[in-house]
Amino acid sequence: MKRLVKYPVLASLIGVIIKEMKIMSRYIGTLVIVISLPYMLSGFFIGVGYTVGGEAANRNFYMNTGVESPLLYLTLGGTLMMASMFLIENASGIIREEQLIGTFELHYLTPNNTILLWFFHAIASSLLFLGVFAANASLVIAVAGSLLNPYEWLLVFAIVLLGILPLAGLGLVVAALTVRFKEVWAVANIVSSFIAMLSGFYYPLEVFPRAVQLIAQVVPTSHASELLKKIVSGMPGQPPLAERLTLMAALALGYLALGKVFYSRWEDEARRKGELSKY
Amino acid sequence: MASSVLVENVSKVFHTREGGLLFRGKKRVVEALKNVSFEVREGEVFGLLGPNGAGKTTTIKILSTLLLPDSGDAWVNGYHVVKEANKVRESIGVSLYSDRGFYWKLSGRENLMYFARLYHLERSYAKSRIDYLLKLLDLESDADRLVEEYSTGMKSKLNIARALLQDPPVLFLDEPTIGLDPTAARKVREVIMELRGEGKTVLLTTHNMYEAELLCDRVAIISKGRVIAIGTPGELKSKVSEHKVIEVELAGFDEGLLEMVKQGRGVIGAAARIRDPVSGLAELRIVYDGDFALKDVLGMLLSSRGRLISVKSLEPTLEDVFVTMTGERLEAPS
Repeated sequence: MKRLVKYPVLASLIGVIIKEMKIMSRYIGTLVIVISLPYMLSGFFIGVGYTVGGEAANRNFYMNTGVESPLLYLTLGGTLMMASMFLIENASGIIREEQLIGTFELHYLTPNNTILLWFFHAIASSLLFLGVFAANASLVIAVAGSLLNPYEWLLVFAIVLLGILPLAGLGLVVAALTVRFKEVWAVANIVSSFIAMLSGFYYPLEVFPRAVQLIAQVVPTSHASELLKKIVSGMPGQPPLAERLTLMAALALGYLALGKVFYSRWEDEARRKGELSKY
Repeated sequence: MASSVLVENVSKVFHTREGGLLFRGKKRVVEALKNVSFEVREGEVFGLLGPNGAGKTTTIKILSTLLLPDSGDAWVNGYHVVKEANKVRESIGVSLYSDRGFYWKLSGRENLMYFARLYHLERSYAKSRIDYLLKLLDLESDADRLVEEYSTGMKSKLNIARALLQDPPVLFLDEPTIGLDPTAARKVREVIMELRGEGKTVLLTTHNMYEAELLCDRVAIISKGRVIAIGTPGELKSKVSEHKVIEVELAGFDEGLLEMVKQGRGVIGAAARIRDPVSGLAELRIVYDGDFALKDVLGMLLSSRGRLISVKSLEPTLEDVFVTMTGERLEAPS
């Protein structure tokens, strides 16, 4: 009987995706929150908007964002924000969480590149969020009375992936820097908050001074957020697709390379100091 | 017989910190291994016997490539543990914990299938291998329950199944029966004996002398990071077989009394295990020669402030080798 697969990396990727999907499907409450929170936040912000703007709220919103439906604009932004926070927290917490349950060093006993394994975990989370995004976007698009064609859907998925996957690199940096202090979630939450602030999930980045807008250019989710709103919610102006996608791909490589450098350094030290198994 | 595991002068030092509040506490240097050398022959069950903190797990982690030695060399299945780490990983199965190392929201079978994929096992082979291992470890009927519902014994057996997934020629089992009830411990021991029958090389750590005597072809006694004796259980016991052993239960024990007993005429070794620090209830194991020694020791105990509860005469065991060589006791057997 044949024992080993032809494509070992693919086998590992499938293994991680199946495992993550099964675990996530068994935390049904978390799934419900992940899907419904963007709607809840949209409702909250729409309520605040009406309270502040009164009858002029919708007109002001359109004038400031170029989008007629606040529900569509805010829900798209909210879903992307949830995805980015989830990715950063998962990648940051992976060392601690796996150490706590005792599975972390078991991955080092398998014939795999461990950084690749953690990246596969980020891919699994991203796939989950593609599903969440598709479900949320379909609903709000339908409510807004429009539809996306298959090309637009493909584009949307590519943008979501390019926007959130690089954050796994940032998560690995946080993981590597904080694992010894066992305060990873505190740092991950701070990083997530900055990413959320600089991504313009709920507002156009033009509300910030020029310097902040420039800093936001190195945050991949800021580009994803803008492109998605242009494509899905019909913001005026042609999105500079090729240019933005190239920039996002470059940022993705940069973030992931940074994650690899920091993680590899930590890993080498951990194998010397016996920190792979500390919990 | 060829070597499956060869360890030559391996040393390992850990730098830790103690205490400290906001800022980190005082530095402490722990010498976990000091020039450890031993050899495990192909097809042999080899035991590392020693108390907690002796360096057993550190040795297993270095041999599993999870930890780098500070100095010395080690080979597993002919591969160097530092220079050929990937080859070593392909040759070994490792069980590091008795009740950890699983995803609680996956079933036992799903956990094994996940690791089978990480070992790149072909799907149908993996399925049949998992079925075989679940049967071998009496886990068939619980295979599809979530691990969060498993008992410690079931998790321990599942850990061993995971270590055997890729059918490795060399197995490292770290305290495989610790914390298990007698039935589960017996099953794990049976599986280890079956593995020996299949020609696997097994390196296990234990502080249970009964387990070491029962399972191991050879044993290395390890204490404070040093290997102090290696041999078959019979060879090791022959070091103390000419001596006599008593175990004394005493309330109100103090270290001064133990030191006095150790200095006694004819006393070869003595060590204590405190059972209740509040009342000072302790068990003293004393290895001695000659009836005069027994008379002297009992005299010392009776004239001490402690209260003698019982005295038992025992056959020498591996623990007495340990007591004689280190002046310490192994932990209580599980």
